[in-house]
Amino acid sequence: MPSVALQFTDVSKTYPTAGAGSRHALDHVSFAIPEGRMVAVVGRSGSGKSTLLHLAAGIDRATAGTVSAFGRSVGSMDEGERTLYRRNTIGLVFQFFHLLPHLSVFENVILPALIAGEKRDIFARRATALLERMGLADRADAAIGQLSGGEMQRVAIARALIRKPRLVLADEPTGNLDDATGRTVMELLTGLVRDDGATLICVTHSREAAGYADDVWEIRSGQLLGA
Amino acid sequence: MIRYLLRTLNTRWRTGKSLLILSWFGVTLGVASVLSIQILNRSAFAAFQGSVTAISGRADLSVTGMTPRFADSLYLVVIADPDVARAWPLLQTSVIAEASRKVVLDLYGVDLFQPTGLPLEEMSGEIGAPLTDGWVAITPAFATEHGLSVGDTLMVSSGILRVPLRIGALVNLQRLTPAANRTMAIMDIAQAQGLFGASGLLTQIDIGLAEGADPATAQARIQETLGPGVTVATPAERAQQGSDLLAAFRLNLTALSSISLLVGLFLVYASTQASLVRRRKELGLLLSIGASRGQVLGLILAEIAVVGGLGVTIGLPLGYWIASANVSSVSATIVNLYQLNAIETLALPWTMYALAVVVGLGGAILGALWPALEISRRPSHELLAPFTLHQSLRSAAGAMFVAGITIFVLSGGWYFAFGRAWRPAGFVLAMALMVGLALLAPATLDAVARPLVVRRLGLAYSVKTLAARLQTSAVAVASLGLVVSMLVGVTFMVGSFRETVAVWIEGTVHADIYITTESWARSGDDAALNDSTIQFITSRPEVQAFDRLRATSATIGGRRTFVAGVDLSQELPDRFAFLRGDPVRATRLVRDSGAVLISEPLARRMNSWVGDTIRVPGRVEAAFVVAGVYYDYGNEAGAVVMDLGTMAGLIGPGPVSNLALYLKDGLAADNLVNALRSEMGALPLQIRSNLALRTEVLQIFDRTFAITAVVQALSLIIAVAGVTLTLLVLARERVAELALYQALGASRRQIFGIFLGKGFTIAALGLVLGLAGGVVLAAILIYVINRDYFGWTIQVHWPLATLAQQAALILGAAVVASLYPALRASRTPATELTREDF
Repeated sequence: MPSVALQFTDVSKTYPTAGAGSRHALDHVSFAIPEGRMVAVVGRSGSGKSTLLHLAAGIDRATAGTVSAFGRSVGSMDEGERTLYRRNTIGLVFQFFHLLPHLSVFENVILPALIAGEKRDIFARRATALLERMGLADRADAAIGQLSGGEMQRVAIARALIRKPRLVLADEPTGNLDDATGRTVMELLTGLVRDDGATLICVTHSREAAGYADDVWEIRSGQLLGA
Repeated sequence: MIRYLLRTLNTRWRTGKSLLILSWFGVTLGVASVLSIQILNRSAFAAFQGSVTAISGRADLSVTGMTPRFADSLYLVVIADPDVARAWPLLQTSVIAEASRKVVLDLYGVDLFQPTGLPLEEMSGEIGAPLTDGWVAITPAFATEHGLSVGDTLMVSSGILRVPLRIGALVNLQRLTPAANRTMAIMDIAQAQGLFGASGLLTQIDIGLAEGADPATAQARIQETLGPGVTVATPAERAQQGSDLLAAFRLNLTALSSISLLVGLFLVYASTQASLVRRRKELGLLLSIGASRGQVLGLILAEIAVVGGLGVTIGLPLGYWIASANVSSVSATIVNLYQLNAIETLALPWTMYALAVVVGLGGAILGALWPALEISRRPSHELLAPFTLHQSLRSAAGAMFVAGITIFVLSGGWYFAFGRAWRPAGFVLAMALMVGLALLAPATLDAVARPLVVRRLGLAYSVKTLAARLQTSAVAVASLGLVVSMLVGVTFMVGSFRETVAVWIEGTVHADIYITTESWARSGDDAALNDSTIQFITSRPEVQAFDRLRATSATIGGRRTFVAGVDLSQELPDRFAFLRGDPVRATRLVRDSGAVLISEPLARRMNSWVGDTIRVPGRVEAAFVVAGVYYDYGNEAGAVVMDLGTMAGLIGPGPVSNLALYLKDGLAADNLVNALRSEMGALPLQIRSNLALRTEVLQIFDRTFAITAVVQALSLIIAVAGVTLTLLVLARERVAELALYQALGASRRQIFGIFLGKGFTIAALGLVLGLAGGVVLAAILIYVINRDYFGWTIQVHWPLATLAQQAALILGAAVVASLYPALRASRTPATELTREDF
């Protein structure tokens, strides 16, 4: 029986709004994702998709309920523990890539390893292998500004996977790409995640991107459907 | 637009307090630095002018001698001129007044028979009282300060003479001119002549011309009639003389303070740049909805003008306070170096307010102009898009580097080809150095960062990320580099100068004890010893040998120059360190052939060297062959040294003013010093050991440069504030990047460390640039500016310990300045990850 990679138990997230009101980004969401599974969460803008990812990554805390990853409660971790959790367990892919323009392609890929203080020769080999897999081996020394959108997202995926995270969280990975590029990116992402045996949660508004996942859930007004 | 401006300012205050505060800080300190120096400069001149105006304010022309005194028979010649309606004879002497403490009192003997216009108050006694018993009128301020009243006796000394004066009135000279010195006093001229050994002599004759007389014609005719032994000058010409006297001193201080202003402008530039980059979308939006480029530019500059206005508001009183805090050291310099009046009041005319406004507002707008123009000219779509803005400086870095080197080469070439003959050339070189150095900063930072291989989130990573934001970071490096250049250059120059003076003293001050009178420092010519005192001292059994010096002054080349007569018949250790000429031969020529030695400042000023002749005024003007040129750091105007016999021939016989005693071997100087002070305590003598004299000389030297230390400190504060500003700007600009680090698992400590590393890098690069620039600036100060303006040779000594201390201080200060921004940056939450560009 595979263990549970990520579990939300009656999780709600509320943000205060101007005046005395508040907005429910997530409303009593519960699910459990086994290890190795790929789940796509679809929904319109403002439905709570990114909030779900932020809570899963420990970037934000739930207002109510419990978020657990690999048997540990993320919400009860202190700041140092959450930092280590993100460093050692999570890989993040963003819609707008969030690559650093002053670093080369190679340096962007190895950034999580630099943060973790790993030895360069170890992560350098992995980075080279990932770039080869991405078809960017010859662009390792290129500046980010010289890349196309699809190439940048591939670099971002390589960065997210450099330390073989157990849980990969992708926020609209194809949101800024054309259809053909998006397909290429999703094929690479899901292929690499599967090779590493990691768990993937991908939030997207694209049904086509969601089609690469094992399960597709819908989130609507903070409530999860299909989980 | 005004309403929009106010709302923008309000928003900037709420969301970007630290940026606004640092901008304002830069303007404030820049204004304060410039203003404090200008207030001191202005006040120094006003102190000189105040004395002149108080006594001679009514004069159309003034007659002064080429020597300190001239025969009062010239008065009759003056009064006989058809254009002369009135003439006021004047005798001026400086004495030591034994008031609540011993202070210098500048006595002016005037003809009280004539209407003087002097505001005498509380006069006591009969009508003829001012003509007897040492009657003197002192200023109310002096009386109050020393607890004196009309009727009191005031003992004064002039040379070895002690003379009791009777306070007969108060004279409120400050009513005539607020800058009049409180230590001025008035007495009858005949009494002054008789009491102070100046019978038949005058210092000055003030002339009131008849109505309708042409001043220029009268001046020319009176000059021709009186001959070359005197100068006839208008009030404007006299003011110019005073201005010229202080010109070099004032110019150097002004140049120093300008660097503070320049660095302050860098702060404004950096914060404006950061603010505009952050607001580029807002500005792009304004343009796209129809605002004109002029409106956008006006909006930006109006915001800066508000910051500048605030800077002026605080900078003005701060500048005044800094001037007040440093007036005593500057005043001491002026008194010691130029024998002028001390600064008693700080002048703050309306022109200072205007200067503050121009410097503050103008400087702020100038600092912000380039980024404002740049951003207002961009198309709106560029402003709404990411990535573009910070690329411009990176691509221009190479060209700027080349431009900087070109400036160095061209300015150096210009100087050696044409500039050497032009006195201000040194300042042009210094300015070119500063500009060139600033242009080197971006490429230097880029060059350091590019080859770095990042292995962890350490210093190399900090340097790389710093170089990614050249438009911001290079400005901080440049401004710190400029300040360090100035610090290093001035420290180097002052350190070398001090060491040179110390070595010079070591090599020339050989006597064990030096004796003069208390009024020597101020009155020179009048400060004479008498024969009985000299006999008493020199016949002491402890004394092996002694040297005598007789002092006077003369106007040579338009400047009052020290003229000394010494006894060169004795075989004594070297008293002069020769720059040119063989010491043995030169001494023989001076002793036997009536030649002279001249000091280096005089030689350079008059371009007279060994073998040339120099004309020295005396009873008649005489020409003397220059036998040697010697180093002399005690006098900026220069000095002529001749044998006592030669001097007697030039100005007639007269008493000496200084004794130097050489004791028998093994005897301690302090013992004799104490014995003489005890036995001769009733006489107004100044008796100092060799050590005490050397110590005093160096103390005067240190006081002279105290004000430069203040300007240096201000500049350093501004530059270090620039480090804080730069890092805050980087933290604000890079919020998304910082959030990314957090999202990828970086700890707060790691992010804190990245920013500390950036601060350290700015400091280190600024230090490197500054050290290089500082060495060059020191060379300019030592070999060009100092030589051209003061005429001294400074031997280069490397003040390594001081420089090392300064470097450590700067690095430390920069790291401390990085702490707050690093803390801010480390607290950026991962939730700040937005769609913002990187």
